[in-house]
Amino acid sequence: MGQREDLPFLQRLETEMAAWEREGVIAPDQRERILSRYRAAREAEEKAGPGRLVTTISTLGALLVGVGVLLFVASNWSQIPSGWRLAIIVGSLLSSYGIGFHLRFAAGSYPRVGGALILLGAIIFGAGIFLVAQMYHVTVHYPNGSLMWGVGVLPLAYLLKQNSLLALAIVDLLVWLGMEVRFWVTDGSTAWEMQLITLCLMAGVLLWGAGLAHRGSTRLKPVAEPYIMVGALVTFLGCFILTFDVYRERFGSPALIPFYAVITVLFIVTLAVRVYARTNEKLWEAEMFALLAVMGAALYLTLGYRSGGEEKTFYVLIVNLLFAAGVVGIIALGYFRSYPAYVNIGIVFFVLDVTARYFDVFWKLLPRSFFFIIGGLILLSGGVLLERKRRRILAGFRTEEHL
Amino acid sequence: MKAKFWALVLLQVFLLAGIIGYRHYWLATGERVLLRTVPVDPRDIFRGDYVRLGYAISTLNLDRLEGEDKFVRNENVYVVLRKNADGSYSPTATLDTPPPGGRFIKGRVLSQTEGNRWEVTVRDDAGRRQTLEPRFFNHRRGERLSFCLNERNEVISFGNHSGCADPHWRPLTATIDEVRELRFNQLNVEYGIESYFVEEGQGKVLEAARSASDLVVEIALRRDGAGLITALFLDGQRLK
Repeated sequence: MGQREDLPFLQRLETEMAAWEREGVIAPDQRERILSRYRAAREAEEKAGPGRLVTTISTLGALLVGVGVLLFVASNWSQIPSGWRLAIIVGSLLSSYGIGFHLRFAAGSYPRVGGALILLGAIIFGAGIFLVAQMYHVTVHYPNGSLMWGVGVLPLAYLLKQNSLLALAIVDLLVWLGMEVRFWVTDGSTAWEMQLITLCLMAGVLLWGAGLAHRGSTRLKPVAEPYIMVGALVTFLGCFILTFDVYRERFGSPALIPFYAVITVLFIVTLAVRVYARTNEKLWEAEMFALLAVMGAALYLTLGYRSGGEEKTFYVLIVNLLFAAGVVGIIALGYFRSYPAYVNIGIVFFVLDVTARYFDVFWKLLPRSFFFIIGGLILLSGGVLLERKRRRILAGFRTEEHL
Repeated sequence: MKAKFWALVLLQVFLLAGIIGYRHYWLATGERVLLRTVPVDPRDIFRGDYVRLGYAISTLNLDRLEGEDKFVRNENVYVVLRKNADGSYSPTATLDTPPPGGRFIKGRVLSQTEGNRWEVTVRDDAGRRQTLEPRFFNHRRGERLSFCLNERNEVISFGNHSGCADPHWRPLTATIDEVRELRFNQLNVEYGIESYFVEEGQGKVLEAARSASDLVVEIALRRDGAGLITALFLDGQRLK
């Protein structure tokens, strides 16, 4: 019978069946009988209100309560003994998970709010880890807390196929990576920020690759999106930073070679899984080769690049051209694949890139007042053009869906 | 699915319980030592206020200690400790492998640098000469200065002020005879006992109290030398 995960399917089915009925493929009573199989899911959906809005509001609610719990732990009230504080944390963790599971699966009436409560349970789990660390005065910059949080939430995200849980786990693991790198890289080098950025770029490409591997599997496809979204954002952000004049020092550190090795091996595994899956998705080979190229470039920067002298202008130019190509590429990919998230990410980084290059090129050439007036006008007109173009693309997706 | 869900949730609870059990076992079985500190106060984004503790053993003068004198970053270092007359512990040697016996604490090497320290010879109004070792010094020979010294004759402060903030400190007004800046082989070490979490808002209070007092930390040492904070003593009083 219909589950909540089937709702987008149900909406599509209804549209499809209306067409089938018109074309005489099925009779009206057959249509009714098929739809009745999924009616329970539809009723649950209607009770819960407009889907995305309910998800957004309840997820925001879960995040707010979660932040409140973290702050409660942080305030370290001496009036409440640490044992009681722990009992409060474990109690609220169990009840949040319990009520969440009941609403999402057992009762079935409030699946989205239920999902948000399960997310809250996972945030409280993180608060519990930090509370224990606080109780025993474990050193602050010890990254294991974030690692345990991420690893603890990950299996739950896969079991429930819940994207918000998976996004939380991925962000936890990225925070762990950042803290761990900061821990290893301070060898007196002033370039640790750039070493962190290139490593995050590699992690972004790995996540994106993992997303592609998930998309290739029918069973894991529902949880591919957080990998792809976080991966694409981190990858584009990393590349965007590299479009600036940052080619002065090294991008890698010998202390980080184990990280480079593990990320590269995992990335190759994800690509192999994707190739093995052979799922027919538009332009997946192009996407894979682009990721391979970015990973190769990141590896060259970390292992091969040495302090740039005259040739740094060359690097800046090449990376800018590649970045622009990447932005156009992801928008085109989103368009061909009817995937709005790619179009949106592409447009955000297109605007950021145009703004940054405008500052780079014209800051010294124009008097300041003209610089801001012209820049503002370009952005305003660019905003109107982009919004119209974006709407047209997204409207195109919807028309395609209906057809 | 329900059974699997609850199994994973319980796994999270067991993970929390496991960390607590492990730390409790450590506290119950570890050998206790007292270490002297120099704290500063930051704030941790998740865990609220804490006092950052720097120890006398956080920056080691390898020229004055026995054992190894070459370390690399992130290497484990085992610092052998000796009990002082006042009950606190001081370092005697630095090793790269755990010693077979005795009290020692395990740390992680942050860096090995060339440190500098000062030897300042002064003459007081009665003509008595003595050598002081401030952590930092920026005055010249012939200048007249006021110093505040603690019970162990360590320089707490110096300048043109008169009197000391703490009645336990000894004021000394003297003329500088000689200033020597000495270079030494310094090892910066982290032991995992550098944070002490306090109630929100108490970090700065404790910090202010610390600058006028003597802060000692009690550590539970595991057999492999790893340390865990068990208590803080401000002027001999245990902090709750």
